[in-house]
Amino acid sequence: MTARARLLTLAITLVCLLLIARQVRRRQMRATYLVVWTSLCVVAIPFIVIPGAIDALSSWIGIYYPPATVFLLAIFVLFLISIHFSRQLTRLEERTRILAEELALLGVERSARAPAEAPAASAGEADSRPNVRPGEGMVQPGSVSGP
Amino acid sequence: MDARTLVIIPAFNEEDSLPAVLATLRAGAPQYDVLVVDDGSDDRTSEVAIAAGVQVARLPFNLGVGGALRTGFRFAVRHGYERAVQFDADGQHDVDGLDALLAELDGGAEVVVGSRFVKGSERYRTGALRGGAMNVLRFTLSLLTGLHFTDTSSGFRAYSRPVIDYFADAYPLEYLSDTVESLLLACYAGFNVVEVPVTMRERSAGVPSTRNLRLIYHYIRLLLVLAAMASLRQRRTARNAA
Repeated sequence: MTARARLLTLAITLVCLLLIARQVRRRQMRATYLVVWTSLCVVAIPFIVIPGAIDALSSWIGIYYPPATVFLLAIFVLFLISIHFSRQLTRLEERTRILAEELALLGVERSARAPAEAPAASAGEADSRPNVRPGEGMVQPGSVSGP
Repeated sequence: MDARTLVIIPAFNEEDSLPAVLATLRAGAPQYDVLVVDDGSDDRTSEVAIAAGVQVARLPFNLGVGGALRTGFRFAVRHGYERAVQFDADGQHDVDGLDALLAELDGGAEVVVGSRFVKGSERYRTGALRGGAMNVLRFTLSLLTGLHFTDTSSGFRAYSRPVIDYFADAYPLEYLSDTVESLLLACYAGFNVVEVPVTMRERSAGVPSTRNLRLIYHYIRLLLVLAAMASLRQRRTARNAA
């Protein structure tokens, strides 16, 4: 790798770091991911800066073609991260579904009470599922209206 | 038997067929409570159901039949129902079948599936692709459970209280899983699953839920899920044997 290429790669890495920091500052990314991506950048930097680092690592692992080492590691890390995201996504979706179901059930309860009295803030008697608390005096404009 | 019974009707854009279904329920089975779960419909499904005087749970967006059913199960748990029946909003199911299903529950079954194909039910026509796929699923399921199911995709089912409790948390939510995978789950959880013959009509209104290409995807996904569950099952039984 020429010095110019080295400098270019380093610049790209630093820009990535800055982008990540900015996302976190704007609260568009959780600090967890700041840790993940930052540590990846930090791990990458020595290999960019030190000439021969990749070659040394490759020969230690037993890979004859050093660029293959870079691709191998990169693919492996990205693979792990996307598995992690799949899990997070599944969990989020499940929670959203539970919220939707709870909302629908609250709507039934409210419309059952509505004919007698105004929808008062008395959702206390409904026992709740884990993670989801019945809203205190929850007002849902798009919900079921009484007859 | 005097057990409180809830009829759960998942409905997605069924304003055309729902009034007739609710009317036949009221005429043929007035002793049961009805909960329509409006699965994020764009039309007047909720309004139509409210006008018919039944309870309506309105989901803010579409969750699929599985999600709608789970909402119904949660409602049943909270309000202390002893039995629940899953009933279609599109007029496929017959009120007479309801009593047959519930009678089987009283006879000790915990999940009762109304089957179109078991001897005693009238013929029901399906397309070639759907029919073939149904055969594959049927075969896989009997391979995995050791039980013989004739109608794995039937949406006409009755559940006892322990099953309602179980499914209020564990009901599978994805398309097709809500029928086939739920049967497998019920079997694996050790519930007594029984089929009874029922007559089903052709859909009275509305369109079938999915196109062919998506259907193929869902069948493949389901087969993978079943395979994954089967391996889990083997590990579990091996551990129990040890």
